[in-house]
Amino acid sequence: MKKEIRVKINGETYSMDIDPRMLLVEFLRETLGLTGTKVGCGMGECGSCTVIVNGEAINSCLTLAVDVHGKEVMTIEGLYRVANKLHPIQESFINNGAIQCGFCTPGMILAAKALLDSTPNPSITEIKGAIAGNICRCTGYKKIIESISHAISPEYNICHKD
Amino acid sequence: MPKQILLLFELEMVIGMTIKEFKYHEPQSFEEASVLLDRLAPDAIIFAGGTDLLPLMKQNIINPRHLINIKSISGLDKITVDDKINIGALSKIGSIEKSQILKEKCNILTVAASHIAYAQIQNLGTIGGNICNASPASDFAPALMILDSNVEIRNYKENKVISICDFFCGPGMTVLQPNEILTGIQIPQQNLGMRSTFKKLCSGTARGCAIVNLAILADIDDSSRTVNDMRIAVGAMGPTPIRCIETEKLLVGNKIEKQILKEACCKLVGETDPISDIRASKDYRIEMIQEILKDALLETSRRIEKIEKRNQS
Repeated sequence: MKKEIRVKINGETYSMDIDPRMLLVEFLRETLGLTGTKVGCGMGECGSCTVIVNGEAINSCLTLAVDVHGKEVMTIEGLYRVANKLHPIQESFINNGAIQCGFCTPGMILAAKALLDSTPNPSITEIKGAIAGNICRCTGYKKIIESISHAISPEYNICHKD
Repeated sequence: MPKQILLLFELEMVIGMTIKEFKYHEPQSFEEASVLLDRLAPDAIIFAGGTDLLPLMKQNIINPRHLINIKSISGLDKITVDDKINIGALSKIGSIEKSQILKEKCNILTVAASHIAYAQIQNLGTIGGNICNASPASDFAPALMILDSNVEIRNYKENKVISICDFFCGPGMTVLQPNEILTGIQIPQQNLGMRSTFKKLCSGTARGCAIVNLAILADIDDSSRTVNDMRIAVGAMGPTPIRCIETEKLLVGNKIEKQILKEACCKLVGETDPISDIRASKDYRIEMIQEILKDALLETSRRIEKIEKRNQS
């Protein structure tokens, strides 16, 4: 049995018949080839599959693709495509050396973006809270937290429409 | 790694994660959903947030033949106030944490919500799912119990309202019949002026599953500091969340003092029956819940002292 979904991903509308068992992360990675979204634990523990659906960060490994019908999804690829340049959070991650192996990075950045969209000037506690669901096994949290708090400083000129 | 082995490895990962085939239903109204459920039960399962259900389906622990997604039914995610507070079963954990109505009326629920997992889960998981999964360690359950909440249960022909304290039967078990759907939670308004405290112990700083949790609602006389009314509920201290009626009775009419705290701890231990599991041993739970109870009661009465001092100055 197939089910039709219509979904806007990174600004582009896709209309497709899919197996209702398909998870959002499988749809993104295997059907659309958007492999920036990672699969870590597959159980909603690690946050590496984080994407933004209708402005909220969610785990795409715990979401059926049929559930995003009629919604807007943003993946890490979309962050670049919007302005055709790196997002200030991405710039800040690079400048602060917040990336080691990089596997958690897409999830971390999207969790941070969801936070900054709803809370433009978050405290360190709020930043820590927003990435509490993202695990980095290179143990680089300090630089990640610094990067997110630097991303809101004027030098990065963050534009919340991005 | 040679290419074939890598491929095999990947294939195994995919197979290991495969969800068994099910028929997908997306009813647009409650009537449609309840008729469907009545026809398909017990082979059907209600799908709300999915944060508990999908991991079980991925591991093939639960293999429903029919999945009924109720998220298209409008109105089930609303939080409204009339003579009581009504929380729709599909209200997300995140929206409960942020709800201004709940912050003003019964802050303990928003506090409990803030202890449940993290943003990515809070934006998916629902309060109805949290209750129906009946985890003994549910963070919502003790908070709802002390607020004297009721749950609305409906099937295709009738609806009923029962106390949340009668809802849980055991780990993962509730009184919900296969053809019934939990549609919402009702919180009466009469107790909402009381002071509340929510405490949770879990490993590390991660907002994981509770080792033990506790919710109290207290009415303590400001001048005499006598307990007029007390509600206590604990989680992960038995097969279901437990409302500790005997401990409450013991405290009412007394002042919060060293001796009564000691007695209350003994009483609470007598009312509960925890197990040893992956998160903690039985003995550790018993030790910790006593400390947490003392802490919560002292915190609540100290808050009164603070208010008194503020009023005097």
